Amino acid sequence: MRLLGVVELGQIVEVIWVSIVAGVGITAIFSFVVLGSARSGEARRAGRPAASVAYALLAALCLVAFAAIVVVGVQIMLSKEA
Amino acid sequence: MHSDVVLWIVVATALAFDFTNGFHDTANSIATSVSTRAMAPRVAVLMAAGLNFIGAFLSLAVAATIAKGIVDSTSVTLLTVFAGLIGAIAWNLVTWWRGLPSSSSHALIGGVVGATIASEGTSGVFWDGLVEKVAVPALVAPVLAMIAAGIAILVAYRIVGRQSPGVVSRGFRVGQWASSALFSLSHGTNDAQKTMGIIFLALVANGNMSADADIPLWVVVSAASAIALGTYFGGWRIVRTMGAKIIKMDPAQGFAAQGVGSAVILSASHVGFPLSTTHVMSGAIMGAGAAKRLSAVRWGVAGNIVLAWVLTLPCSAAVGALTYGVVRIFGDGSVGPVVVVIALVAALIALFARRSIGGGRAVPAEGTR
Repeated sequence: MRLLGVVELGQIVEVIWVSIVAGVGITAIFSFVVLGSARSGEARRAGRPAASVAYALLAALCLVAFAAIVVVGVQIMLSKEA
Repeated sequence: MHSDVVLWIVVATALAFDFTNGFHDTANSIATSVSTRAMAPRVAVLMAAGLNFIGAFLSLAVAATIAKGIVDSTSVTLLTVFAGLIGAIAWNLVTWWRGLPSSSSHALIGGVVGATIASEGTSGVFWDGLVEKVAVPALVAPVLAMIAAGIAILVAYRIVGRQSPGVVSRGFRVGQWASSALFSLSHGTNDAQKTMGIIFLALVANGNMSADADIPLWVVVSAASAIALGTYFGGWRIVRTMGAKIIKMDPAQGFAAQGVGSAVILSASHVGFPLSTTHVMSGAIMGAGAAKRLSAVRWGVAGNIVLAWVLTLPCSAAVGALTYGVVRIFGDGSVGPVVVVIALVAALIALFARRSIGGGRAVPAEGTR
């Protein structure tokens, strides 16, 4: 189906859902990095080393996921076609 | 001889456009980072300029024939390209002067469309292409970015809501370095290509190169340098509009706006539906503000920005058509372009001289550097 006779509606729908998932996803993942770091510090100061390590792990995992998304972004830039 | 002079004028004008493109779009990369103090202004422009320069070398996909599918390519001459570039430069300068973010790509398309109408009539324009590449993306980009950024900031606040504001702000400021860098790199891979494509087209049209040749290194280096230099100079009026006038943003909003902006542009690029970085970033900033509180967005400023988007195509087309008309008064040779360039430079000197006489009060944002 074509919108206004010229643009594929399916393409627009794909842009919309991919953009929302990617945009919200990257923000959520980095928010968990911030949350994990903050809670890890709090737990360490409160003398709860296990919780501190668990939150630090959450922050580290989310940071890796965030870095992976950035790498995918760079790959998309590099794979653009004429 | 005449055509060689015209060619080099077109090349110089294309690089001037590239400079205004970088200058105009600095705000997209750094406005949120500077306004939330994630980065010092000078560091931000230096990073954005460097990554724009590198980005220009990363992808040489010449989808950069910007007006492809919009005007009849057989009707494109050096003079129509020149007139189109002047239309785009004029619109970029006017919107910069007014501190309004607007799309450089749409300005360039408008300029070329106007010049084509002046030379070939309306039959030289593919109107369906104009709807597909300009009208629909211009409607989709800001609304999509606004909704995505709105959802993203609500999710972010939900996740970090109970933490100390100081810790949260510091965390998101660090994240803004990454999102700003990604955005700048993406801008370099996109926008410098437009200028490379135009110079390449001019070289082919003038018979200096064949259409299937590789882009010469000097074209890549000069286009990358022009956009990086423009970015480094920074359109501070637009930075101020996007960073502080639309909403007063906190680091979480700045990160959400820029993260969503990057995600939307790269997702659209991945799907093959390129959107204007300016429209996306402006929409994302409005969304990040509106989700917190509708009244947080200065809707008057937002309205002026939208008005500038609506006017981009007709205004740059009008200047492109007018320029083509003036150039043709002097025939096919180089006299017309030379006269137009002299007139434009004289107008710019007069404008800046007036600003200097006014003690620079018209440009409060320049002082932020």
